[in-house]
Amino acid sequence: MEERRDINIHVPVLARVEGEGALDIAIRDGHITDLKLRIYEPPRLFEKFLEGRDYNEVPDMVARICGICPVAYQMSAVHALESIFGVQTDPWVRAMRRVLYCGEWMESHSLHIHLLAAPDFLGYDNAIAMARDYPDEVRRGLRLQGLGNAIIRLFGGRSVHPVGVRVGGFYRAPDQQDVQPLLEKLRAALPDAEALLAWVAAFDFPQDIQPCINVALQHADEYPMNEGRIVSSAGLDIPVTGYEHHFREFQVPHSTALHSLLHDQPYLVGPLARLNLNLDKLPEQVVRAVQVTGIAFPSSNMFHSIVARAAEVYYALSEAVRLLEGYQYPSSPAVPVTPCAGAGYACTEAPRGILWHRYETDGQGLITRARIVPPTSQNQARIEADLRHSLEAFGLARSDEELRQRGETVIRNYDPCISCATHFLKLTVNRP
Amino acid sequence: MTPVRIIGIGSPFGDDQLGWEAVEAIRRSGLLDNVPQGMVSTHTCDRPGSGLLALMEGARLVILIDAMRSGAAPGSVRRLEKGDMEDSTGLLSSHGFGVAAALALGDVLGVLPCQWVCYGVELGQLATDSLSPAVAIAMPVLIEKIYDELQEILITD
Repeated sequence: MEERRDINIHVPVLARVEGEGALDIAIRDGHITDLKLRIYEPPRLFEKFLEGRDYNEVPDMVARICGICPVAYQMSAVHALESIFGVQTDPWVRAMRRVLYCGEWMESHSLHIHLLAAPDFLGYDNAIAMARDYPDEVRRGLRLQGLGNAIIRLFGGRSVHPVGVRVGGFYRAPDQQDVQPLLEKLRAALPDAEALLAWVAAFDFPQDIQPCINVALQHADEYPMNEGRIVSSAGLDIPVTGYEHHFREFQVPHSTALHSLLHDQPYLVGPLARLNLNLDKLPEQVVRAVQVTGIAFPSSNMFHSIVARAAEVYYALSEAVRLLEGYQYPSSPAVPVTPCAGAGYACTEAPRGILWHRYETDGQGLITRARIVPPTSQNQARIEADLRHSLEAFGLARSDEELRQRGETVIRNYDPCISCATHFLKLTVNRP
Repeated sequence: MTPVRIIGIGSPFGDDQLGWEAVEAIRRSGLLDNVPQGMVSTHTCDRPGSGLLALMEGARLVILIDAMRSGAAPGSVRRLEKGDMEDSTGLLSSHGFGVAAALALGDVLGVLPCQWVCYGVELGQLATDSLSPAVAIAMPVLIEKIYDELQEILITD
C-alpha cells in the first residue's frame, strides 16, 4: 500500500541554472496542492534605466542585462529602434548579424548542454564530476563554446565592453585576415558538432509527453533568428507588431518576475519550440543528423530540449560557415540613421526563445519608454505546469531527494536564464 | 599570449567591477614598465564562466582578480590558491558558472597553468555604477600585493 505523506519541499537555491531561483512544492494526500517557482527580481528596473537615454546608448546598456546572451538583447533592441526610424539595413549587415547570433547560440547552448544539463542525464551531481569520466566530451563542448565566443569577438570583442553592435549595423567590420583563420577553425569543428548531437541524442530520456503550445519566429527562407512572424503550434501567425494583442503579461504574487500567457494559455519558447516549428528550414546535413538519432520531431517531450540545443549548435556552426564563406569587407559597416519620434517593436530568437522589445522615442532619439519581455519569463507558466505534471507522473511516493532532483532536471530543460528574468543582479530591495 | 597574465574578472554591477578597476589601475600605474617585453599581459573579462579556461590556456602563471562574497568586511583582500577554492563558501562569484567552478573544471581536465593565484576582494554592494568606498580604498593595497607577487615570480624565474 502506498504510504501517504504530507511533504513540503523547499529548494532554496536551485543548482546549475544561471542566477538564482527557488522552488516550493506542497504535497497533500498524494497530490501536489501548491507549486511555486520563485525568481527574485526588482520589478522593471532595467526598463526604467533606459528612459531618457540616447538611442545610441541602448545596445551597450541592454547587453548588460544578461551575461550569457548580450547579443540577443542587442539584436532585439536595434531592430526595434530601426523600425521606429525607418532604417533599412543592407545585406552585409543582415548577414553579419546572423553570424553574430550563430556565435551566441553556439556559446549559450554548449555551456548549457555540458555544464548544466548533461550531468543530470548521465547521473552526476555537477559538470566537474562528469568531466572526470567524460573529459573528451567536455573538452569538445568547451571548444565549441570557445568558437562561439570567437565569432562574437570578431565583431568587436567581449571584454568589459559589449560587442560592437549599433543601430544601423556595426561600429567596425572584421578584416578579411581575421575572418579567414576563424572560418578554417569553424569548418574543422563541424564533425565535433555532429558528434555532439549524436552523443546527446543517445542519453536516457524519461518518456514524458506533455503537449503544449509552442511559439517561435518563422521566416519564409531561413531558420529564424532576427526576423520573421510570430507563430504557434496552435495556429497563431502574426507580425511582431501584434504581440501585445495576443500575449499578456501579469504579475504573480510569489515572484516579482512576470508570467506570460497566449490567449490565456501557458506556452513554450526556446530551442525545442523553434525546432518543432521550423524543421523544414534546416540544411540537409543537419536534418540527416537529426533523423539518424531516431528521435521524432516535432517532439512534445521536454527532455528532448537538450537534443534540440545540440541540433542548433550544429546548425549555427554550419550557418556561420556558410555566411562567412563569401565574406567581403564592406564599404561601410553601418547604414546612416536619423532618429525620430515614434514607437517600434522587434522580436528575435535568443538562445532561450523569443525576446520581444518595444521602445518609444522622442524627436531627438531619446528613449521615453521601454518594454522588454525575456524568454525565461514567457516560459514560467509552462515550467510550473510541467513540474506539476512531471512530478506526479514520476511518482510522489519517491524520496524527497529524488523529487528534488527530478524537479531541478525539469526546470533545467527550459534553460531558464534567471539573470535575464531579473533584469539585474540579485539584490534585496526595501519595499515601501 | 604571454606566459604571465593578470586577469580582472567582473560584471557591470557595483563592486563586481573591481576586477576591471584593479587591472585599469595596474595599467595606469606603470607597474609593468620595468617588466621585460612580452612577459606579462593584462586582461579584463565580463562574466566569462568556463570561458576563463581559454583565457588561461598556455600560461605559466595567472593572477586572477575578482570580487568575492565570503562574509569578511567589505574591502578585505584575500589571496586564494587551489586548496582555498575547495571551500565552496570561499569565493562565491555573482555570475553564473563562476570562477571557482571554472577552476575546478580546468583542474579535472588538466588544462590549468602550472601556477595560478586568485586575489579576492570582499564586495560591499552591487546596486550602483561604481565601487563602494570600502572597496575603492582597498585598490592600492591590492595592487601592492600583486606587485609583490610579480616581483617574486620575476626574480625566481
